[in-house]
Amino acid sequence: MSLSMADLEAAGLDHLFDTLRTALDDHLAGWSPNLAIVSEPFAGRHLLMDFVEETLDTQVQRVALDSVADGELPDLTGQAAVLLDDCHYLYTREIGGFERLDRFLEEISASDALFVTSWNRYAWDYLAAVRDVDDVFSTKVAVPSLTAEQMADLLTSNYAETMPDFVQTGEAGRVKTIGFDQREVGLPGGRSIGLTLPELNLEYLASRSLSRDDDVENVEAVVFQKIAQLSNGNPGVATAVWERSIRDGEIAPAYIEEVDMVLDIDDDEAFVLEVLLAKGEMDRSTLDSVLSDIPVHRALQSLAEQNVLQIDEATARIDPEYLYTVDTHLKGRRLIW
Amino acid sequence: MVIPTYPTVGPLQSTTALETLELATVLEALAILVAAYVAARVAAALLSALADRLVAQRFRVTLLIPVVKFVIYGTGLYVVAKLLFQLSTTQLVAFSGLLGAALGLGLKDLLADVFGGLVLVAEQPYRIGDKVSIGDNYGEVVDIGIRSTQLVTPTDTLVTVPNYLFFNTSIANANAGNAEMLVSVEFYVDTDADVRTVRRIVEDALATSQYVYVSDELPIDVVVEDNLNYRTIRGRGYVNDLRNELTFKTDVTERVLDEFAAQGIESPKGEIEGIPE
Repeated sequence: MSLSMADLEAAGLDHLFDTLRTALDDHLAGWSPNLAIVSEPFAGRHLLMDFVEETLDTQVQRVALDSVADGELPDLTGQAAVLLDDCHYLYTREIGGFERLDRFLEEISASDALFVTSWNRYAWDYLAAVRDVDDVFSTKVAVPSLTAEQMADLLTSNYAETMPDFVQTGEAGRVKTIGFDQREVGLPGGRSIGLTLPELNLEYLASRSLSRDDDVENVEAVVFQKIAQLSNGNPGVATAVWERSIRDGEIAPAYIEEVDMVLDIDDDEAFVLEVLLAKGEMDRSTLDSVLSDIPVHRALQSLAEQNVLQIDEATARIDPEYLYTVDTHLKGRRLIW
Repeated sequence: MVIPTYPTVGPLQSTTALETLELATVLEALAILVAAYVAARVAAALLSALADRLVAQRFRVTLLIPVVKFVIYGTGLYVVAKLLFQLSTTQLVAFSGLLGAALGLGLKDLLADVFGGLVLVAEQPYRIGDKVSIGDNYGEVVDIGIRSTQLVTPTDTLVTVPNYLFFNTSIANANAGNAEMLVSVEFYVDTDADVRTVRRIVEDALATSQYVYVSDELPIDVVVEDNLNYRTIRGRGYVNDLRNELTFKTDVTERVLDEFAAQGIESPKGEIEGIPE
């Protein structure tokens, strides 16, 4: 079930709407700040764009750039306010692939109109490093990771009509127990050394301790804690995990299983995955033409065999449940940061 | 006439102990040394395997390998010395001094290597996995042993460098324990070529490479130099993993040359300084 604005508000993300309202008020008062709405894939940036469109009502032109733009930019002149969805499609990873983006940034910098744009967070981070895209937008609205409590509010709001029963099966289910974190430890003489220290997963331990507890409220708490952890607080990923975990109208901590896999991929496959992560979804033939030095179709097939991607005849996209497997893997390879 | 008697001292006791050594004790000592060797190799292999799983984060683990090896070998030698010579702590200190002096005279270089290894472990001017230049040798550090450091050069040659070189040779570390490393690529074009276009091509090639690592702290930059017969375009960017250093260079160079050809950007017609025509 797709998310709604009411779900985000229920999750306590009202401040995002407030920031947008303030920016729109500034626009109506005569000053037009350019707005960037940035989020991970599936995290709901389109809902914030919907909110802006509803608030501005008829004064706005909305343009979707949901494929790699291979033609000219749409005519953006003469508009008081323009909404541009998925601006990460304005560039490609090839020589000359930033030309359209550069022209777009130049155009909106010189314009008096209000530009509200939405971006994939991975593409945004890359473009901020190679094109200083963050300098052009005076206001940036980023969808944050939700806590377990916020996740509970979001899912309860979204699935109010079809809420499953919370049951206890006596097992907590498998979740990574120990993670590793890099810490700086100070040494005498003002020096410091970076140490990798283990970190216990307290939510998992809590779920273990509650595994024999039949109190429904506790079971609910454990369910939402696990979903928040496995989705990294991403609303869209959380709904995917939630829906996958319901069995015959019931949900239990043990039903929420971690998608834990070690990806066995080479440099070309990793790059294809990186590009897809930054775009969310791409036309296969476009991907092939943009990454002309790479055997794209072979890479897509290999990734699909590992269940990381969903591919059909035309498009390829990352499965929401595998988003953080991909994220972790690509961070490890220093392809995203 | 009274003949003076002297109390027995440490070294004499140890000589007596050596004279009464039994075969079983010697075998036990050998077994300990073999066990230490095996334990050090196994520990190094396990840590290396763990490091490989961490890909670009491997340096967090590889820095432990020489430390673990030194601790295992040091413990093994201590246990063997105690077993063979059965010395008290005071005697052990005195014996170590004598042994050190004797070894210092005969095995000066070996001791310098061992101490060099100890200093390497403590100061960590490089770690396993780093790309370093030691003297005339450049390559990836694949092992830091008690006596020597091993590098693999870009031509896949294994070079063994004695650890004592640490004391009297400058060491250049290209990445200092990080996975990313600065890589430079250089192109020469004719003076007729449009500098802005050339610069943009090189910048784009670096920024869009599948091996690039770029952030506000580690940016890409391109420098243009004007010479009499040609222009030099020097691009610099960080490779995401130093193991991809040459692949990154090749990827950028190939794509830049393809684009130069597509846009009709020509090579210099005149002589390039320092490069035979």
